[in-house]
Amino acid sequence: MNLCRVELCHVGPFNHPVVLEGLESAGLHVLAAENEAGKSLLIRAVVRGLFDKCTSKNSAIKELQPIGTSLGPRVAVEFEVSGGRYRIEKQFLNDTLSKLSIWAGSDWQLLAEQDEAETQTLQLLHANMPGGGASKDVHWGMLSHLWSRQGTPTRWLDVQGEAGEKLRKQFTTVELDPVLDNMAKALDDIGDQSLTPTGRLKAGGSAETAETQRDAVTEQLDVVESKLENLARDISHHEDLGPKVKRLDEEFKSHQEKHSKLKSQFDLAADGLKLVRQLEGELEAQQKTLNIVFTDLEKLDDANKKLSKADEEHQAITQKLEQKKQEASQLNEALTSAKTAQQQGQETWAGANADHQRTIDLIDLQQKQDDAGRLQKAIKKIESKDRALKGKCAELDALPPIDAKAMGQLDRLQKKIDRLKAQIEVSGLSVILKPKAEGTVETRGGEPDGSFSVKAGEAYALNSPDQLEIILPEWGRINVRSGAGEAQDLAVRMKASHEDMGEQLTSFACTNLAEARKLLGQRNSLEQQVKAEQVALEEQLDEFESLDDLRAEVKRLGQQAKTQVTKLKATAEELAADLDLLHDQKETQRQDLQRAETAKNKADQDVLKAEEKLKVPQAEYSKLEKQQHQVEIDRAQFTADKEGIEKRCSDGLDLAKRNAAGKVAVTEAKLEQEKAKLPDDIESLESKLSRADKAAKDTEAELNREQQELYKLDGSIRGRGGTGLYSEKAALAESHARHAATAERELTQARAARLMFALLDHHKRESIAGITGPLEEELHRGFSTITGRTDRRVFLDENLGIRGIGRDEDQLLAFEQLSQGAKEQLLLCLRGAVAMKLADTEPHVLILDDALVNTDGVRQDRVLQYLETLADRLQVIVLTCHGERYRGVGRKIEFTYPAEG
Amino acid sequence: MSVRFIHSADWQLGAHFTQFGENAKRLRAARLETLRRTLDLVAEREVDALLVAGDLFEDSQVDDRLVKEVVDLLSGQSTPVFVLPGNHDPASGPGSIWQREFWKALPDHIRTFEEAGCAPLGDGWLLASPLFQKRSTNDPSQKIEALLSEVPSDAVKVGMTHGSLAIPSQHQPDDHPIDPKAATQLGLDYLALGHWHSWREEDGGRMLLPGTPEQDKWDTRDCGWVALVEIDGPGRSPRVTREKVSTLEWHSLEFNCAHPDAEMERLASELARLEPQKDTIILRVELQSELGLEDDNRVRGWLSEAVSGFPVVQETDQSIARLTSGEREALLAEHPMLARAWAALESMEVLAGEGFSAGEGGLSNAEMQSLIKKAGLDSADEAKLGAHLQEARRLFMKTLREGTR
Repeated sequence: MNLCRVELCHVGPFNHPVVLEGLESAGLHVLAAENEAGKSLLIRAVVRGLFDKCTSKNSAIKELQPIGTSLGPRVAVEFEVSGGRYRIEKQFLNDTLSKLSIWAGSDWQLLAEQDEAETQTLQLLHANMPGGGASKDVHWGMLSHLWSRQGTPTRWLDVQGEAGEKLRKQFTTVELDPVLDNMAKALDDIGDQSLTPTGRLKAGGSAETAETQRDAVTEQLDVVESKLENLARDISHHEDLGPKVKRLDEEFKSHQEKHSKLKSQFDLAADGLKLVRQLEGELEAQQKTLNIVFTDLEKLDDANKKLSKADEEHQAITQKLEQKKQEASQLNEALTSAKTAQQQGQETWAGANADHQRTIDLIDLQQKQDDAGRLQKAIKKIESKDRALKGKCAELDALPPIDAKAMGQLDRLQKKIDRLKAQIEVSGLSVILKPKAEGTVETRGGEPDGSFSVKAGEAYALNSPDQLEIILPEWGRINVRSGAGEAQDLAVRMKASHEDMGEQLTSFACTNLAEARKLLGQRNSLEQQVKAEQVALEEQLDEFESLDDLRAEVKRLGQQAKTQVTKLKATAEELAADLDLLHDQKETQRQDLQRAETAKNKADQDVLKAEEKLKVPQAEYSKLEKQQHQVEIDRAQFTADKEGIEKRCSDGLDLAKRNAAGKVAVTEAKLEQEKAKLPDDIESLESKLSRADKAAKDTEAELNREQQELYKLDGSIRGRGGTGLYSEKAALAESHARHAATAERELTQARAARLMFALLDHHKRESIAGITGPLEEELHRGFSTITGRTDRRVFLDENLGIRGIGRDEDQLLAFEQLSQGAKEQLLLCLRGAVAMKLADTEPHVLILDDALVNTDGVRQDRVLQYLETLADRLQVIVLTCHGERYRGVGRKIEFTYPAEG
Repeated sequence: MSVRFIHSADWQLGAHFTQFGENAKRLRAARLETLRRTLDLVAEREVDALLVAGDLFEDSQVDDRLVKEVVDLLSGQSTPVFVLPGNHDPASGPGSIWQREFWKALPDHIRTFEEAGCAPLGDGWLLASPLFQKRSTNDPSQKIEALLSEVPSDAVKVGMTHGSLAIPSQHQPDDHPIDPKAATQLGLDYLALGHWHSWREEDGGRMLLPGTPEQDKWDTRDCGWVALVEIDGPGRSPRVTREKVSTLEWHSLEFNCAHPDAEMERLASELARLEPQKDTIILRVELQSELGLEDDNRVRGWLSEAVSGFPVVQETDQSIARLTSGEREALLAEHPMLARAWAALESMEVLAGEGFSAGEGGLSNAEMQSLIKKAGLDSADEAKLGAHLQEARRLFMKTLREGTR
């Protein structure tokens, strides 16, 4: 079916008749209009017009009514189908009507009206409409599939519906076996009872439930097994422990017996041992006494020896002291002699130094006197120069104080006057006077101002800013006036400048600029002269700042010379002495002084040496004195020691020694006698007894420990016996086997069902592939054009729905997982593919109402290319609010509004 | 100087029966019933004593309830009972069952040999050598030799111990091996043994393993007895009589699916014969051979109905689901796509383990592998795959039946 023309009235925004025409049987038509212009409504109205009963008052019909009115929507659709052109016209809600007409070559011929018209229309469009209300999209024939609705471009109508069945009939030649579907469903259900779609165990499924139960029992079994293992371990331990305890008990008894035997032996030996210990104590004390006597004897002998040695040392030191005393006396005399020589040398040096210094002072006095005389002569010359300089300065001071800066200022003022004058000449009054005869002319208020002489035939320019009075002798007075305000201002400013110039010249005692410039020349010349005089004077003054400084220096020198004469008490002869002679005398005296100084230093050295020599015997003497003192102290100590020892043994040390040695010998004999009575192993007996005791105690402790453990184990094992672990395990094992068998059975059944299902599905798909193959091929071509990729295929299911895309079925990306853009492009291609296939027998319209809202720019261009391909054989109508995207392609169509009536 | 006694062993009370699930309790209860019967027999035959030659209990850790039931049974009669710890219930100290308070409280005429020892047995003497552990390479009968000096040499001497007969290739070295001529060598008139579960006599009838009084496995044969032993005097050959005491009877029936009608008739007759004792029957039915689409449903339905009266039934399905040639042709005619799927399934089965190739179902090797993988199966695991293919065939038949109904 193709659309040819549509007329609407009282539909949505169209309160007045509106027409859409210019639709051709094949080609791309673009209806571009802004939002809410009524594009989508147009198609909805067409569908209502084609498929709905005019008597329907369904909300879908009412939605066509202009908002807020009770007007009845009117729709007329002209279409081509099965080689004929028809027109169905319907009026809804008010004054309802349906009329079907056929184009008879020159005019419309009415075919049927009302119900009959509607029935025939549905037949023409291979559609039907059960009931009496508004139709649903499944009743719209192919249009239901070939109209991509606004807002749902990715929706594909289920071909299980009425329209779908028709569509499927168009494409399918082989019917699927319903038994296969029933079996597949049953198998799928069996598989689903235990497995997820991906083949994993389904949570809460039969197998998983059985496995969960089995695992729960396994856990319980593990616990029981663990308890049994523990019990077996304890029993084994108990079996090991019994003999061990027995062995320990025997060992303990053996240790006890040994200890008892050793204890008897030890008790017998204890008394003898006690006596031995007592004798050993006595012997130790006696030996100590004997040792003291020996020690005293040694000490006494030692004290005698030390005393004798100290006496010898004292005598030797006394001799040395005497010797040192004599040495010191000799050296002391030598020192006194050296000190006398030192005194003499000092006096000789002092005399020579005084002579030498006086000669130096006399030379200095004479030089000062010479300097004072020389400077006095220079003062006279400088005073003459100073007078000349002062004269030039006075001359300069007498001139007006003009300088280069003031002169520059005057020049600039003159230039200003000249410029103002020139401006006045331009903008003010200007009178050219050219007298015929020589004479005097007087002017007032202009330039020149005053009277001046004129010559015959010469031209004189008389200027004034605004008013000029010219008095011509013997002729009269001429008064010329100008209205120019600017010239007047210039005149005022020039007058002020003249006055300024006059004031400045007057301040320099000049009448004009030339005088001022001359005066400046004079001043410059004088200033140079003054400077030259000042330089000459400074050279004369040399290092002095001024003449007064020079005079002060002369005065100072004179006073110093005078003071020196007084101080030196110089004789006239000395004052008159020749300076050179004085210098010679000074040199001679310097040499004498040097010699006296050398002699003096030598005497000093001699004194120091004598003093050093004297120190040696003095130090040795002092040292010997200390040694002698120490020897005396030692002698006193040794004497005291000797007296102390002798005092302790009044009967003599030898007797004491004999007594002590005798006691020791008696006690030693007794001790030997008692020791001989003791057993041979008396030394180790005690440790043996101790070891035996310890062994018995250790064994007893271990025995107690192990016995405790044995009792504990015994109790524990007996306690567990009644719990019936084996019976529990048996019951659990039976339960486990039952659940495991169930789980295995359920899982085997589920997997087998999945295998069988996969097998049936495989064969079913093979059959379907024969049906959907050509359509898939067409779809693939379209989608490749849009995406620019040829490596992916599009797979359809038996309901002509898109399963997904991918290189093959195993790598299929499901339709639901695709992006919105890809989905709408795929659906566009599917509609295109279906329409192209249908076009083999009957032309069809493909309506795309905002079908590509998620498509990017690149693919949009490719879509246009694809649509143009479709449009070779199909009537494609694109409704869009983005007209710019379709510019240059297809045919633009639009609503027209015919005049009413 | 004669001696008369009942010799039993290997009661293994409290044993588990994993393969019977819920019915295991019934099997355990039956053993107590058998003990009750045996005690009745003991009273009836007026014997000198009942000998339990080891393994009265399955394990030392059976629960007290069971021990108490046994204690009640034994102490409820007056004939002496001599109990010998075996490898399942050894005298292993405080952990052994013989140390339970219930057991220790037994009256004096019930004696347990926790150590090797002697006891008067009628006019003769009993010389018992118990086991102390589960496994040992020692011959327990050797301890009896030391006991001989404790009894009069001219008395009838009956030995009792527990272990396997040391017959080459029939025993494990650590399974308490006993010399098959032990009775003669020890000069015993009779050696009462326990351990093996089938009746067995040795040493010219002087040694006997009476087997378990109650069958415990499908493949255990010649059991369900106790032995009535009579010895007229020292050196006289013992007279041994089998006494049936078992409570349950184990019956295994086979059903050849290749001839379903004939087999149904035969099996019906067998079951009718067993019907009177059905409460004490442990029944196993094995389906064998191939089973077609129609017969599968029919046979299974019939069998289910036929055995419904038996309380303990094990159905073992060894049959192979297979379409008959007629069923295959019908399938091909009516459901060609399903026929191809069936052919593919069969070719999978045929080729499983030999590597897949294009079969009758028109599937390539890769396609087969892919389908097997999709089902979460591993084609390399032949046994598992085979079981799943069998189940898949069964499901195919089942769903086909339901789908065409």
